[in-house]
Amino acid sequence: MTGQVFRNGAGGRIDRTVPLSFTFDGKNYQGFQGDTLASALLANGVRVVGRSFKYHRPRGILGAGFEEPNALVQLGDGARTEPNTQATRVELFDGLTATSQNRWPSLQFDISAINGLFHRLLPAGFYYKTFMAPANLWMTYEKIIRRAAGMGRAPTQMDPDIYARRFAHCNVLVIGGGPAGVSAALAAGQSGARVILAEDNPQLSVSETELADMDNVTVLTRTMAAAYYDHNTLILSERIADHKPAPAPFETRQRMWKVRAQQVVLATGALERPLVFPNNDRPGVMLASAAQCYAADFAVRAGNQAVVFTNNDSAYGAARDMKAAGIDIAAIIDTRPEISDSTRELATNTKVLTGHAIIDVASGRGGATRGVTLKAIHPDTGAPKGSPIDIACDVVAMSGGWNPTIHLFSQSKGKIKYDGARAAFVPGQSFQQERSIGAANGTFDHEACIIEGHNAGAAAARDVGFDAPDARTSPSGIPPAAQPLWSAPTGAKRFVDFQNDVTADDIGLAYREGYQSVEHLKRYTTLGMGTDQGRTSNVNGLAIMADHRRLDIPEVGTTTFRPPFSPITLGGIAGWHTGQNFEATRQSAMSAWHEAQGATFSNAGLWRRPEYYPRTGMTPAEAVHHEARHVREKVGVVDVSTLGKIDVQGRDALEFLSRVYINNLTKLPVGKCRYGVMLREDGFVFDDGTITRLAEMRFLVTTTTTHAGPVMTHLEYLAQVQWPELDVHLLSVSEDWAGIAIAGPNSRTLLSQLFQDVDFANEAFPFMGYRETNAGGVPVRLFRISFSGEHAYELNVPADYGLNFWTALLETGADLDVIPYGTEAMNILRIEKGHVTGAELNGRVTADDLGFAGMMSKLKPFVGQVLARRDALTAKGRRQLVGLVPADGETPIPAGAQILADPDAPPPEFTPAAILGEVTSNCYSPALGHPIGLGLVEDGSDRHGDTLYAHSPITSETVAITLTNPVFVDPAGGRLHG
Amino acid sequence: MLHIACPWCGLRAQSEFTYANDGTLIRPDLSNDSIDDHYNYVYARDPRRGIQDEMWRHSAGCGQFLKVRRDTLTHEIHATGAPQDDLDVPKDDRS
Amino acid sequence: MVDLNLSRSALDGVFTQGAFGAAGDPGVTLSERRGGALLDLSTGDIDATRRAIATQFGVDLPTKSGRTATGDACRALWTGPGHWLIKTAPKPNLERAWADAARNSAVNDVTHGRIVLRIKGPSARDILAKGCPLDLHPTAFPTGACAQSLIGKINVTIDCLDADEFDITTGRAYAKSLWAWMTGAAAEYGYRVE
Repeated sequence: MTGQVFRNGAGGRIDRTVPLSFTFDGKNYQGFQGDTLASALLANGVRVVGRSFKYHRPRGILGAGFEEPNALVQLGDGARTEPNTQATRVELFDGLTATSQNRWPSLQFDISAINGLFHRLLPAGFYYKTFMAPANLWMTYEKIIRRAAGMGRAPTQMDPDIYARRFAHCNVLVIGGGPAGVSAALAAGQSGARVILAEDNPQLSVSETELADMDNVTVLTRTMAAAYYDHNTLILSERIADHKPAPAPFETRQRMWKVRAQQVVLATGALERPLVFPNNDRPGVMLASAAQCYAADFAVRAGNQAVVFTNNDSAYGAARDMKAAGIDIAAIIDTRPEISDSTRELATNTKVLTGHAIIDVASGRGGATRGVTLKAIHPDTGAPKGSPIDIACDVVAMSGGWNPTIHLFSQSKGKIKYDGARAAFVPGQSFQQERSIGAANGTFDHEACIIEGHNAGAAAARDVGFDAPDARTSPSGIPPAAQPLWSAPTGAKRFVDFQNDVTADDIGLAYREGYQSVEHLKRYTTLGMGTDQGRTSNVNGLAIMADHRRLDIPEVGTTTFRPPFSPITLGGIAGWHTGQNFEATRQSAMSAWHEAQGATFSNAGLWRRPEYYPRTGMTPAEAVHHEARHVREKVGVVDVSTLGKIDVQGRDALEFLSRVYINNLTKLPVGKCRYGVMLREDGFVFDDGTITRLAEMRFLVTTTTTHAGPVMTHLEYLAQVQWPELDVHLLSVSEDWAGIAIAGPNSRTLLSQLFQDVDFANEAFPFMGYRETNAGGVPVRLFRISFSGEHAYELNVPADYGLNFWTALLETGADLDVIPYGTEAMNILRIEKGHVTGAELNGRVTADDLGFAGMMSKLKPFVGQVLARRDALTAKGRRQLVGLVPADGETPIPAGAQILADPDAPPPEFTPAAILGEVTSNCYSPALGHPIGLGLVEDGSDRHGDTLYAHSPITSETVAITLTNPVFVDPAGGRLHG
Repeated sequence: MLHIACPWCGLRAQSEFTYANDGTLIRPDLSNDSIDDHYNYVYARDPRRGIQDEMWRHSAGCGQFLKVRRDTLTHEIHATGAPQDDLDVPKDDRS
Repeated sequence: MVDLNLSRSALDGVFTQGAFGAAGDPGVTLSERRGGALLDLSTGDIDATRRAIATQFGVDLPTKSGRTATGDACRALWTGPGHWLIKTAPKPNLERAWADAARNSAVNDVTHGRIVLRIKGPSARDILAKGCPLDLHPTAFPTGACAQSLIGKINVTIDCLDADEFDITTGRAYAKSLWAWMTGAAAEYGYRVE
């Protein structure tokens, strides 16, 4: 055990009294409380942390935060494992396990690194070029490429953790807890505004007790702003328990905030750019700010001897901090011909070589950096010249300047602009109620950031009506730090996008092949794609393309930044809505009873409905047939609570219903029901149900279960928008009333026993009659209607009584042999009776197609009437409802089959014109003792008796079928009316 | 992710609303049995790249339909009102 | 003869009293409000209806979104223009009594079509904010306010009774889903069921 040989004994923001053990690729290491995985690995001298995506080159840690493209690791194992996490943002905890990605079979010996030797075979666009043909081999290629590419493993077990969603509203939302962001939050908070401050790190960069004491300010740490959507809606991902081995019992792991802010202040900082030079991806080459951060915050030396390579002043501060931490600075190499005296002062006692550049990085054991080669460069062209100089080092700390983090600003539809002086894209005109400040706005001076933050926070609060502190004056005349772009014009493997392995040569190739627009460049080379989203590569890549095209960078343009800013978990997105809770379910008052009987369930919209009740010694099919047969012979009860029920009241209730149903309703008296059909405005059938007149100006209409919502919306639209002059009040009462259908020859006797004060005689309570009664203080609605074709009733009781009435019917009817039946038997019964349901009401049938033409009133206008007259809806050759029986009397009719005239015709999927119709419903009929079906067939009403063929393209069966009247059972209606 | 000002309930999240229809449609009069007029009401639409009037419903709120003047390019909402409101008339001047 | 007058809660079988979730002082207490009556009142003649109801039942029906009003024995929540949810004590022929008072209006007894859950305690607003897109800050949603919105994809009416006390009304068929959501959302704060 070598220990933390690169850790200093003092300094940093770590807690040395809390040592933590962790493993990386199976080896044990130690770190301290406050470490990130990256800082702890560096402290232990681990230099190679992954392999690159395409060439499998060894890679080390490049950055110290969001910008990290290389150090993507797989965290944990089992159900909690998580791929593609940035080691620079993973907080160390005791027992953490991490493994490197993009390696096969091991990090030290990687078979795919051979790609590096044959890199000419894998140029930019290699997916498109190599694997174009034959297309069907792509699947094979893809498997090999995916394994070689690694990309981590998704967990295969259920996620054991809890994720939450959280809605929040505030006056001012500040993103970023650096000096500018804290200053903005403070100023806004002092005004009394409701403020949320979100910071990705575990703590704010400055400790601010005043902020913590404000009740109106919510500080969210470990919270990443992932997305900025319309109307100032932002998505924040808060990591509550990721810094622990596992969440505490009942603790939420991550919380996804959906914040609606009146004003937003973006203080998202800036990310340092790498420099582009040969072999700039060797482990040990890192951003100067990262080396500085490890030295200052974690007391970790990124190496023993460093070369600092820069094109701007900021790296001099980094060199100073690195030196203070004990790193030997071999030299500062500056591409600029001259630097200012004040800059030079920062590097006292350090060798500074201006007008020079690194032209190669030498690697030693495991690919890690062991030295650099420099040359002087031409002051105008940047081309290397003269004799090479070698310097030994194990760290190259590079700085290519700074990119303001404008991703959220860009997502907000703000216009970004190129700032030549800063050589960076900066926020331009805001589109939403938003302000960008500090480094995110290209302001790199510390004092200026604080003042800018204060002024933005105060102004944001003032804009929404708060009395905010006065603006402060910025120190004037601070020029933006000049940072001229530079990249090595030639040489091998000059990496621009580390995560996607895109080199300067790849951009040159894209240019030569005509992929010159920034959008084409991105897709051809994959520059700026993936989780990295071009955080380190964007400007360098554009600069190289601009150079090829001899344009300025703004003329080349930039791509749009898409959410999320950095990956978020699927668990966080789903929140509560997984598994059983994916959708809400609706349950009737009798649901628990059905469950207790072992019924199976099917979904109808959000409702769960019992399909059938299992019976000992019977197969499921036998149990269903038993239920159906029993209803025809004796009596059964079925839960019909799910049917849509709409209470319609008002002086114009009748007029309103007359306009929406095809039926003539004027003669419908109080105490009577009618079967009704409504059309859509386009003339096709919308829905069917019953209309019951409860009182002179009050109706109850029913809808099919699945159309209840759409019908209600349709009716409300007409009532509110098109006919507001009508006095009509609509209310869905579907859930107020439990519904039970009682069907079968014994149904009358059963109900007579339960409701002794109701006269069930045919004359007193005829078919399509309606009665109200009161049973033991419970109001009961009784409808003599039938879906099964049997003598039947529907009973509605207030829902809390539903279960009691259900069991009372079963108890009272025990002598009459009553049984419960489910939706499967109900379906058989209605097919036997030729009643249509969703399978036939498919949105393409007219009332005439279903044989309802006679219901269409000619005495009044109604919705859909005019367009139903269109030629195509009335022409000959329309598919009409028919009954189907197998010609041999026994072969089941295949579900969903196409109906053909010629059984030997080519498969109908290739000859649509040969299809005469389709099978819409099919079942075995217990009443008839053979299979039956319903179908829609061209001119079907005229074809009763014809033999056609039902062909299933799925099972390839072809069955000869005879067309019949769709009413198989009791066509005269004696059972209904008896 | 829109926030829509319901004329009755005020600014609410988009998830409470459902898009319903084109906001400019007037159903042909009941006495009108012209197929062309009904055809235009049902099918003819003029979707804009820019500002258009739409009909939404505050389905998880007060249940009322409302007119929404929305920019389809930017998702900005410039005005809302009751179905019978003229959105060209400033809100405070509507009767 | 069986007794038909036996009503059951939509939460029968899932509602268990006791303390659940995270240890320590419970963040909220959850309970079902049973025994009250609910009426849905809708009118096209708002002024006349308000006068009649004020005279008859002593409550000034609110005319603005988000408002409630409490009368002698009832509480009225604005649910739409000319539309209210009335919470009152159950009585025989309740629907008829209100319909007789509010002429030219539509009255429905919706006691059985809805369930009312009460959430009370210091974490109540935090829990509701996990699924409700409304601004539930005390300044935006104070005592006496009401609103219709969503909780975890379920339509609800929220009635703020006190600083940390709310009645949540939803459709009866959604009762178990909403209860699952409420208990799931409350678990991290700890909750009591009463």
